[in-house]
Amino acid sequence: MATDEKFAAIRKGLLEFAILRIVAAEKVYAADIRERLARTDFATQDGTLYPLLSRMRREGLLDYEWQESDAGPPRKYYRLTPRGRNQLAELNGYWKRLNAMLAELGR
Amino acid sequence: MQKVVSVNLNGNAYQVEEEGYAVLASYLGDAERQLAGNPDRAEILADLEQAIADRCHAHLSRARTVVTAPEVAAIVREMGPVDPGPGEDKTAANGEEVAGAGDARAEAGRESDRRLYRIPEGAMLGGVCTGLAAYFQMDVTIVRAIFVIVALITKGAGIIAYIALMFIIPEASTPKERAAAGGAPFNAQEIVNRARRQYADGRKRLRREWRRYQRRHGWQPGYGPPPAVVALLPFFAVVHMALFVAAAAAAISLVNRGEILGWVPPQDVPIWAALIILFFVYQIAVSPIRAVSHWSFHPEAGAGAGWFAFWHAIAWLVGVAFVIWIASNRLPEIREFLQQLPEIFREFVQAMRRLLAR
Repeated sequence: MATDEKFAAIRKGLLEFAILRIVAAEKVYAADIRERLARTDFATQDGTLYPLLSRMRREGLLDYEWQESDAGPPRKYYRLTPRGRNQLAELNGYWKRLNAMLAELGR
Repeated sequence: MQKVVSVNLNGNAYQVEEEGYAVLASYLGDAERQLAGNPDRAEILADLEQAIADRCHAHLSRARTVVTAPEVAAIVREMGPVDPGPGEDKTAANGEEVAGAGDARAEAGRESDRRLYRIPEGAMLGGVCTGLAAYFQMDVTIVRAIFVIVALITKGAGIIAYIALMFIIPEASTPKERAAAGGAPFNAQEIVNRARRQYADGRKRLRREWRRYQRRHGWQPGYGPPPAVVALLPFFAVVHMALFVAAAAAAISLVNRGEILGWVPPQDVPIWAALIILFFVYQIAVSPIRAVSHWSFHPEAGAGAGWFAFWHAIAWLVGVAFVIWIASNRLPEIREFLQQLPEIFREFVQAMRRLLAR
């Protein structure tokens, strides 16, 4: 139980990273992001996802545009801003360094 | 059989069983409370409503036009509780600290929206300093300290500048303008919180700075000028008065005839600018005399010295006002001079407005 909680904390910290990666790969709307996450350990509910997306947009990491959909009203399609791309590159680099650090410590 | 309620979810109408409606209403009510203080609250709520609407849509078909209560309960479970996220839950307990973090984040993206306004919240006088602080994203205390120091160095010209700015800079009277003043997101509660915070510690720090300044600049007793200087004081006073009369005559000649002793300022220098230059020249000319008399006022007088200087200045002002009053009744030049001052001041204000409007 204790390890599970610790892992949950790690996942929580990495959720933004996961979202940046999804949005970097393709233009998606919120439900797409949720579905991509649902198949992973990062499964996130709307109640968490929407405020987070809004905050990332406010930080200038994401941007969205309205697009007509076949079914229902227009949707917000998210994409990365230059700033978001920078941060993702930084995070990718940092993640690699962290892995190397951990590997180094175990040696 | 259940009663059916029609709900509007972000512009989509859905038929929901009454019990389901209660569940939805309480979910959205919770969401609204959780997001209190979030600058994008309305947008997030609209997104959430849309997400619920999409899920309702999935439960409906041509044959089924009503979302049942159990279905609504399932939808709400899938949606999950609204998590305001780190640093976004602005409850009463940690609202202040968090508001600051949110502002900083939001401000980073909105530099260009900033405009210069006076901000009455947290203001000590006209809100000029609070407005400048918001505009330059500096601590309001630093701006105030700069004003105080400038006012002391220029022997009062800073105060005139403050009054001029009070007339020039528009006041941020609507919440939207107030948000634009700081480039911060439009959220009244945050603005009020921030202003209140700045007001409280701004006052405290201003008082501290002021005391430190007084200590450093020799308001303390203990030293005075040599007797020879004291003996010459009346002479200095006469020189001071002569300089004042000369400066006043120059100002009157400048305003009434547009020249000083035959010298005409260049065409593109407006009268108000020439007056300001004249004022500074006068200040520089009399500053050695001021320094000497200042020195003499405070020898062994102790704590009362500051008051003595204060009453001396008041007496001076009253005397000057009296002289101007008498003179304006007797001398037509002075009356003419005084009548033109408001017009010059208006031109000055307009010039500053143009400068600020860019």
